[in-house]
Amino acid sequence: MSEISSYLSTIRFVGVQQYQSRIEAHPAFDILRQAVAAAAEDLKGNVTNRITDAIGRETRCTFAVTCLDFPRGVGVTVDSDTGAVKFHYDPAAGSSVAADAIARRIQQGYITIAVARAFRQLGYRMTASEERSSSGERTVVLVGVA
Amino acid sequence: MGKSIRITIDDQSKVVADFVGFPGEGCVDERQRLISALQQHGVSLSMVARSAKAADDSIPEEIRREQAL
Repeated sequence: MSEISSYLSTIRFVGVQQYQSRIEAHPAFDILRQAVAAAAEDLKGNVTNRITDAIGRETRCTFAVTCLDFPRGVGVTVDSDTGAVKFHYDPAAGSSVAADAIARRIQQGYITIAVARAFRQLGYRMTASEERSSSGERTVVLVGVA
Repeated sequence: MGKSIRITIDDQSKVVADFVGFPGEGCVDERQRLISALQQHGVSLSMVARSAKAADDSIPEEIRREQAL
């Protein structure tokens, strides 16, 4: 039997309670770091650890990405109770469309890296490619061969 | 025929997995292994749709014909 299945995805660090005061030691933290760095590079932005709201107040985050389209930044945090990775920005601080695009880019990058690692763990050889729609939306294609 | 999994991730992070060449219920087991491995790496997947392929390309055509007789 062969099948096609589709899923909604969320990023959630498993067993986060064991890493309360040192989340950077969690095995998935490195994936998040790489995904944030890749998103910042793609968007010609920067990685920092704080975002700014519309009236200039700063909030510290685990990571933040700033770029020309949303200079006040989109923050990334890991919920210390649930392990859920959350995105933060002030919608009054710029274009929500631009902020959402940053968050989506980080999430897509994270899942791409996680799938690559899962394939390697399961003994698959992987190839990767990208497709872009006419409106510029990016789809990542990963093929694992046993 | 070789076994493969083709995964697409769209810009809304919807994931589609196409399991090809797994005999019998093999793709069900492999789907579970993949979901578990992804969970270890921080990705939770909730299935929204699943469909078996109309033509099972993991079984050679002549065997499918025999089964149909």
